[in-house]
Amino acid sequence: MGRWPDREVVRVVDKWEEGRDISSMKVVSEREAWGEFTPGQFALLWIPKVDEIPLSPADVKEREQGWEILFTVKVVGEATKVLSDLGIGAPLGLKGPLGRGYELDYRGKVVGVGGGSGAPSVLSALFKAEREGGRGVLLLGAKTVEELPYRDWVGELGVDVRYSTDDGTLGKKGFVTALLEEMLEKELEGDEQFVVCGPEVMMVAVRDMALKRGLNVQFSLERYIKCGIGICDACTISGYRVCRDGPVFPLSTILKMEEFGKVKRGPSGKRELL
Amino acid sequence: MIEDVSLEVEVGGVRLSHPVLLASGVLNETAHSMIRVVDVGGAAGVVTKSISLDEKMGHRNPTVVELPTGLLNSMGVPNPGMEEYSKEVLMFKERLPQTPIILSLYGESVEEFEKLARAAKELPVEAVEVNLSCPNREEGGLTFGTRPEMVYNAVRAVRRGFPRGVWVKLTAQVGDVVEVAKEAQRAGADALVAINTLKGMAIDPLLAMPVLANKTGGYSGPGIKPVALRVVWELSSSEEIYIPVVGVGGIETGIDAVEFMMAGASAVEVGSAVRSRGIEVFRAIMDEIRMFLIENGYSSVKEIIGLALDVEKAMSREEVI
Repeated sequence: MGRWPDREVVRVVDKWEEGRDISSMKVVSEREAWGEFTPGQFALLWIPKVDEIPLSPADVKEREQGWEILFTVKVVGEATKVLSDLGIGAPLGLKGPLGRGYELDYRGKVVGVGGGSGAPSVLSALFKAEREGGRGVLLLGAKTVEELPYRDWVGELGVDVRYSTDDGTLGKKGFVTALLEEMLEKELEGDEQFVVCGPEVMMVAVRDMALKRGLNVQFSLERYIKCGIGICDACTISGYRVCRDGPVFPLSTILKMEEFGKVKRGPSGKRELL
Repeated sequence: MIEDVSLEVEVGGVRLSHPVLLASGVLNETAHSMIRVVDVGGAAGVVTKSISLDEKMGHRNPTVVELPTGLLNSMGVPNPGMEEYSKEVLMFKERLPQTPIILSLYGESVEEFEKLARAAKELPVEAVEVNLSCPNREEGGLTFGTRPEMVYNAVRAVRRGFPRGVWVKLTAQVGDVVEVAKEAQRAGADALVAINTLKGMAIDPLLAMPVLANKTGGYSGPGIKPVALRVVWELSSSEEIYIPVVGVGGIETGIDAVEFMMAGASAVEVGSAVRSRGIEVFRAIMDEIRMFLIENGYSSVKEIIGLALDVEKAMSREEVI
């Protein structure tokens, strides 16, 4: 707070395709605030003349020129389409980091469970654990192999990554929760810290598994975010502001949210059943 | 020695346990947030988001710019429409039956205001706040608030449809705010709320374009406090205005609230300060008002309402202390 102008103009410095309608891009910020980035936090990316959308970075690294931030974008509408089509050098407005991220002991064991567009958020936790001497396992799920990002390069960085696809085109056939269940059956040591981000139906399943087995899980929620600073109420779930109190919440808070897994709000604030 | 002071006030047909209310536009799209603002935040009551007859999606992002002196927003009155929003009002009242809720109405025609008022009558709301001054939509809003005859017509329509407190939220962006306020009063308003955000703009110098998708927006926060204070003072010191005034605009501390009350406000609304001081800002302001009253020998917050309207009176009090 208090930084002004609140949006910094950054440029796309690198960009590549990750899969069908999914691309990754890097921007460089000169703002010191990114040095305090906690995985799970998000940024508002302003695509001039189009819209401004919340995205959780997949990684933030210190470089000579500033903070290099990695974003992964899946095309779901106009703004993400334009963002995906931007070329290197294109300007963007960047505001962040915003919200509260995962509170973890990054020297310990971190298990990330990511579904669909939740992959970047959990990957950022794994990268941090890797850098700080912790251990990590990343479980990623998607409908089909072409919708799984990072598979070309993330293994080379030392991240133990396992995949699931609904159609069995890569990794375990089925939902990522089946992959998680398999891991819990075979490898659970008891000191794992789980972070999960993805479709809410998937997170409901993880919540239930966490309750059954007494797992330590933090959930990163997705809602319709407008202001990003906790005043407009657009992203609120059962009184918790996803943009300010979250997007990451511990299991104990998730259990207090009667709307979790059931209700979200549209742009007008109208209730929509999930 | 702990002395206690009375913080109760009454304004426009609504009794409040203390003078600090949630302002329209901040954390009032959902019942859960309004309940939190009261339970956790300590607000004496809430004003809702402005509600229109039909659902409105609001403007595209960017919708909010943080400034060193406040906020600029152009949400565009997003709301699910009166029928759908009624559920939030009912849920709020079910949880907090004793806490006042003031329903903010946003109409784009006199007919719409009358329909909104009739719908509000059926809800358990203590008062309505007629939003005649939103700078963020082409229809309604400022178009109404800057024209005395339109203000009269809109307030008259609400008065016809709603039997309890009718509060009217004014803009400072007129030559003579008393002239506009008089029309609201003549049409049957029970209280005036001053002021709405001021129409403003932010430009990004590197992108060479306005930051807000809507180009212009409403300026709120500490930067507008002197303007709001002036308007409250002008309304309160006018001999032609006899209905109470609720102050809003840049209030962040108890001392800010005291200044507004000394300028004549019977209560205050707080919105943007949620950003700088968190949801607990309402209780913090209330505590700071109480502390000021105790330290300065007042026994009730009502004693300070309008003190600064009569400079002679204020000076004589100074001598007593």
